[in-house]
Amino acid sequence: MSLKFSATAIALAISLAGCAPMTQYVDPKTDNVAVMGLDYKDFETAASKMVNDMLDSPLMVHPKAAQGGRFVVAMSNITNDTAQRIDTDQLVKKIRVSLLNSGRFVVTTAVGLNGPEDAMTAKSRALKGSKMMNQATVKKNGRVVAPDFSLSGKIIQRNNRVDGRTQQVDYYFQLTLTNLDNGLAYWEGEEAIIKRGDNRTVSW
Amino acid sequence: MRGLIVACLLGVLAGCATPQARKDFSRDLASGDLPAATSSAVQAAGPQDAEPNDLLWALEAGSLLRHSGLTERSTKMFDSAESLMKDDDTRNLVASTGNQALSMLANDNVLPYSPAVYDTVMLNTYKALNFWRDGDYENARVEWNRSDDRQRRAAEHFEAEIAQQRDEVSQAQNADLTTRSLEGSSQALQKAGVDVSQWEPYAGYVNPAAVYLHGLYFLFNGEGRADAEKARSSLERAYGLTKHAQVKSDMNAARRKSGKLKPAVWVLFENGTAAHKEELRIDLPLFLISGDVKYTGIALPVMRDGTPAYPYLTIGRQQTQPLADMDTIIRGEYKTRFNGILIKEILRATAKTVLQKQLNDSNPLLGSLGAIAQAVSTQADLRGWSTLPHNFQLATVPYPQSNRLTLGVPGHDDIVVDLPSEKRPVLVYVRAINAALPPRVDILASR
Repeated sequence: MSLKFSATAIALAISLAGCAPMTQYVDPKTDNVAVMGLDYKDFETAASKMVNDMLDSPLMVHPKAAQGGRFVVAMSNITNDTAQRIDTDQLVKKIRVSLLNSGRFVVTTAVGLNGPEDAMTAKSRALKGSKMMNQATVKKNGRVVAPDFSLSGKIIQRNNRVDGRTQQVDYYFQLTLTNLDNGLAYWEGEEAIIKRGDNRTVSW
Repeated sequence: MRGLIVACLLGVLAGCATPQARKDFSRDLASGDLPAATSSAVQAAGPQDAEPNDLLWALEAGSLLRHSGLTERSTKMFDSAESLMKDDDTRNLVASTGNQALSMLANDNVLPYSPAVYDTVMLNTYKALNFWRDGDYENARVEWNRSDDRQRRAAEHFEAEIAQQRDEVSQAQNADLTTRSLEGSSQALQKAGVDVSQWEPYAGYVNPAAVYLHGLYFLFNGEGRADAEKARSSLERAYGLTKHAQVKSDMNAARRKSGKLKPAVWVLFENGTAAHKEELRIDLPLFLISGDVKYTGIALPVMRDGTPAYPYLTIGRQQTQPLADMDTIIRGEYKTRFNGILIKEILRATAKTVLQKQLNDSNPLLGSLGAIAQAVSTQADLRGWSTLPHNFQLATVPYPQSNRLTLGVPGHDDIVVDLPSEKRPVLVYVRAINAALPPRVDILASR
């Protein structure tokens, strides 16, 4: 009886162990799993399409591009106006990497909407006069480059019922590059990501 | 066979005990012992150092943590509650068949707590207020968007639920009998002083307080045209439902395309505890299966009024005026669900009575045991989020020169609130659960 019980218990344990999802690597190129919220694939798609569009714009070519001239971009505010608790820096980072890799833009970390992203540019100037520092290596004032453009944007979510079982969620990624010289938007882009799925529950 | 029957009876009786934790919680709240009530709610929500697994307790714990000023812990608790709500929405019907079958043998208390729509709206509203209080405007915006979407879904949800109830009656094995039982029950309810027809929801099942706060948030903190539109649209909806003079004034401010909002103090008073359910037992002469049946009856949850902590607050010569009635929201939603609950209870009583007769036919002693089990297990599901308020009240006053606001609380010492020294639009949010607990005052400033 006890042998039978043990065998059954072992069989049950093995079968239950077989039910637990195994940890596995995901290949982003072949990953077809979709969620109603926003995930890394959506950020990847939105960022790459918008950057390509930005790079195609004739206004986004530096007048001295042939001599290696590049526009300096400062990051402004990206508003998350969705029902998803997401980190907009994730989207911004992908855009920044793509812009930098294009060879046509550089991003400043010395200027930001709520202060510099990296305060070290300013702090390193405070070393001027420090006896500890080799003064020839202390960075000089007047050399930090001011931004040409500011990148701002918004992510919007719209929910609609398709039928009793299905809902549609539209996400709009909107970005604007403003020329800081004259305050005009030199480039604007919008990328929509539409998802349809289960209406039994909320989209987040 | 007997073992199976005994197991069934045990299962049936398991759904009948009133948990001690609930009694302790109510006692601690009534006596004004906030730390003890909070601690028992947190413990009952789930094991320490693990995600809460009891939705109703997580909601109570989230509310009381908020009342204790522990907004981060409150939000975390509400986050877990929201995740449990999602599990409830998507629970696999097949997986819950066992629970449903047990609930047909016992009562709905054996099922996990299924949240009301107003629970879901209030959960996101409280999280938004928590973030606003902590100056986390990004996450506050997300929670307001969620609250707004939940309100949109409410009307759809009830439309579907009413249709489902209609289908349940027509598909019931004894549709005729069920219809007659429903009519008979309505008369019995009226005799017991329960007039379901009076439980009217606000139009579209909207929670006007949540809509107003959504509008006010974007009126205070909006960035750009889209936010101004959100403020206008919500305040128009809130005014349509409440006709409150201050809401009208806010709506007009939101309609003005330009101009900064002048510094002033909005006082929102979240007052008392909400309408709750009480059990009403009715013996129904509906089956008439045989004289061998010793007991049959149903137990229905019926709504009773909530309790205000104070009639109003005063600020100088002004009194807070009613903005929205949470009792109306709760009763209105419950009214829509009531027929479904009644149908289920009648079907359950039928099933139990048939089982009792079969037991009696095989052995009269078992029949008697079955009758006892049926009598004991006939219990209404009275669960609900007990720390929701009775009502919401509102008043607005000019920003005091002294930067100090004195709130008059009838029968209680005045509360002096230190406002930000930089004058701007400010929401003073006052929550009073009962007269035994000191009111909680939070300052929610515009950016």
